[in-house]
Amino acid sequence: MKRNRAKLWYLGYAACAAMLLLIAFADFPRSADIGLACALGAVFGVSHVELWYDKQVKKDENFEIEVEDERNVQIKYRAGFLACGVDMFLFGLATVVFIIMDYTLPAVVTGVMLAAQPLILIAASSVISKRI
Amino acid sequence: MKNRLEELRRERGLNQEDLARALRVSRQTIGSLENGRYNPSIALAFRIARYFGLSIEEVFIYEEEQG
Repeated sequence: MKRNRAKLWYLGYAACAAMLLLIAFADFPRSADIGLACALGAVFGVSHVELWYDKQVKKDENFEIEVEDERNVQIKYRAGFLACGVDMFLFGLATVVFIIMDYTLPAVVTGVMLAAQPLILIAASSVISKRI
Repeated sequence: MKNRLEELRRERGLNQEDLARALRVSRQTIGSLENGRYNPSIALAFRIARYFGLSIEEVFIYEEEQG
């Protein structure tokens, strides 16, 4: 089942090809092409990494051990938490810089992302606390 | 928390790599456990104790933190 699910990521490649065709041949506005290109990059990246991961697990037993190793999992969580803190600081810095430079819209976007962070944290904590 | 992992491993003539493979953890985890930098989950502690045919208390020594 898990193996079959991994194969579904090949659909990501198909979606990428479709998006590429749309960008090349459809008469969309430039902003839509940029949006599609960003989506293409994201879908391709995720699909490729998932398929690579699946192949590595099958090919190399040590790879699975390394990934599932409980200390490595803890390192990943702690590093993620630390990176999140750094991101918050950088978003705050960017917001201040945008305000100083009088870039209202970027300041609002980064400010909203910054303000949303604690709300996401509370929501995620609530969901996780119900599971464990 | 202290443990007798290194002592037990050496008694059985194993290197860290062998023990890591047997317990399905990374060699670095064995190293960290041995020098007390990392405390295992209950599940891993059970796996380690069972591997050596001992109880958890015979492998891991819990000490209350002082102060």
